[in-house]
Amino acid sequence: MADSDNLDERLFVKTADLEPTDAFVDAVMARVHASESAALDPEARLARLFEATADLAPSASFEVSLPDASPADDIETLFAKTESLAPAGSFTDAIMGRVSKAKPLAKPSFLEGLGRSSRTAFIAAAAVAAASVGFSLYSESSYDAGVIASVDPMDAGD
Amino acid sequence: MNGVDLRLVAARVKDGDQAAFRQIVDHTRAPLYRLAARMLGNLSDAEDVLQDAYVSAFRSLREGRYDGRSKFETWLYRVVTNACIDAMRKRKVRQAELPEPPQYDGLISQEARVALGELDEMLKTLSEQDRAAVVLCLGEGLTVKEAAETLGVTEGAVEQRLVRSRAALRARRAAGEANGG
Repeated sequence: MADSDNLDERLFVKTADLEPTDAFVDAVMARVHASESAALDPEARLARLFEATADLAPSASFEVSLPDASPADDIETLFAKTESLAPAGSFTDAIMGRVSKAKPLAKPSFLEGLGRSSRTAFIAAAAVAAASVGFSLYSESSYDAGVIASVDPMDAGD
Repeated sequence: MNGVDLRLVAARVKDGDQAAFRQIVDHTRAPLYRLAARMLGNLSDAEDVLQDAYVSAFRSLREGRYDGRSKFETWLYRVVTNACIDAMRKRKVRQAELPEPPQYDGLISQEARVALGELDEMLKTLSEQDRAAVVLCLGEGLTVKEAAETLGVTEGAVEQRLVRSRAALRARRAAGEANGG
């Protein structure tokens, strides 16, 4: 029993300094204000909240960092940033190397050339032939009409 | 591309002076490399396509297919732009192949590389022709008339493509913002 009394005493001594921090006091007071505030009508409550938040301000180290004005979406900005795109000097050598190896495109053979160059002449010849056939038909019918016209009076005379 | 009358140099190439073509390459490689990179979105493809385009231009000059009626620079822009459009179409068919690393990009800053990637991401939703109009007019600073000559279309068609592209880019941006970024 005596041991038990001693143990209790020691525990009380050890827990005698238990105290909340200041933050706990603030939390309690906040709850008190909240309960008072809850009892108020909305307008008075709002006024109190505005008053309580009137001193809200950033610390001195606060810096405003505005969002980037989306340069990635700005086509003119991107064109400006790519204005300097240029190849190294050796690019010219590479091209000249390829140019010196470049063979001229295969020229058409004699017959192909003849076919291509005579295309216009062929069309013209076909047009002339068609015209001459038409003219011969026309002149033949004129001739027939002339013959008939000259024969009829002779028949009448006979 | 100022200072030298490239039309005269082109005439020398036509007459068989191969060395004169070096002068053309030296005067035009920077803007054309930039054009190809902006069109294709990566430096490796730009180098390949531009080399092919230069070889093609050389052959055309030797065979007298540049008639001298248009400005030489405009003609060369047309050769490169068409080569880029063809390459983009072929790339669609080939699907995603890992490009070889570029070889002539030593002078290019990291910022420009990152910006090129972002530009490609932005423009890849456009058709090849619309992208060409945007790159030529808004990127390379060509007038609508010059871009029309380069693309072989009317000025009205270029303007229409620009309007359509701007609307698509605005819609893309709005969608991005709606999705939180």
